[in-house]
Amino acid sequence: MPRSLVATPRPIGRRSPIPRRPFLAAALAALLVTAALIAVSAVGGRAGGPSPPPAAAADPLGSLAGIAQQGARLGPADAPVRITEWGDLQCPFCAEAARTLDPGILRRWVRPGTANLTFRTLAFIGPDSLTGALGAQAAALQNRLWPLVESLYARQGAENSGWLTQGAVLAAAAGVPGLDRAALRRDMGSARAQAALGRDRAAADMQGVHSTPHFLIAGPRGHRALEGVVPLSAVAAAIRAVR
Amino acid sequence: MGVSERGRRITLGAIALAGLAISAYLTAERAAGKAPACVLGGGCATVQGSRYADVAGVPVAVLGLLAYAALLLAALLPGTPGRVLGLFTALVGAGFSAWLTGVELGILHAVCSWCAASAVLMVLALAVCAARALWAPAPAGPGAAR
Repeated sequence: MPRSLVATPRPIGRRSPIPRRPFLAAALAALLVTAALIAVSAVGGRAGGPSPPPAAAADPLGSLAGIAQQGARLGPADAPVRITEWGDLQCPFCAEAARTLDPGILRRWVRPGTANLTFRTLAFIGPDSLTGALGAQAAALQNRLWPLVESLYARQGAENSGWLTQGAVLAAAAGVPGLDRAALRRDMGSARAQAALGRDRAAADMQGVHSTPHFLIAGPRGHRALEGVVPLSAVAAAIRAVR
Repeated sequence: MGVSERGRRITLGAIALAGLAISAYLTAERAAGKAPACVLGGGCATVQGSRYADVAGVPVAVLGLLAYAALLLAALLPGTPGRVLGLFTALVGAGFSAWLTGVELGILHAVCSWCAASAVLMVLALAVCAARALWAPAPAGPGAAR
């Protein structure tokens, strides 16, 4: 039979007979994959991210010993380079910076007197961040901000999970030598702590700090801003640039 | 239908490119150890720093990159392979996005605007891919021009 050379007319707008089986199989497979993803997400979550260790000792880094503390500042006031670190105590990347970056900064530049390091609190992740920030400010009134902050980072739980309470701050303070807990509790609600927090927030606004951790490195030749958990080499380059 | 198969593929490609841009940004910020800048609201740091930002150690932003790349491939592929790939990817993407949105609202009490934008893109992609699956173009008949 010779094939007709004329195309068979096909009604316009009518659905073509498409095979349904591949689409049904794709939908079923998608359902299974989605269920597996949700199950892993619900149970597992982060495996290799900046999850904190369960340690709870004050100054878990052991890096603060012998360094002068004045308010929120570590190191000499007249150091040629001034490093400011903004952090939120609920921020996991800030805790990671405290573990991985701050010890190097202290060892290479603060301890020799090249730089000082000031912690400025931000409280943007949730209401508990404010509790922690006020605790830090109250500790700064006793020149014990840094060991308290390090201790809280070491105890850090999931964001907005309710771990950062006044009780948690006081528990962390129990391991900080020389920190008067009764005064800390009182000062957490004081106007001085609130005012200090407001100054930190204003400084962040002035510097255009949009995320934490955020480092501002200032010296005689200007300043450099570093965002995130940067390598120590980036801090070194910034210090070289501003000295 | 008012929209041709070609139109659906172009729309899907545009959605995939927009999703790729968002995912690439979130992946880069994550690699740099930073919380993304939130366009609306302030929940990005909370969401991206939470344990739900990873699935078995793989950042969700990287999963998004893979998903949008698959959608782009689906848009480029003609015929049944492209439509099946698109439907599968969009179903997984939209389903998982719905879960993550629920986590943001119900557990973290924070909304990441980038994640919300990605979720909307995934729903749009699902609509387009469903349309591609349901209304396939008429195959060329015998003797039709090749």
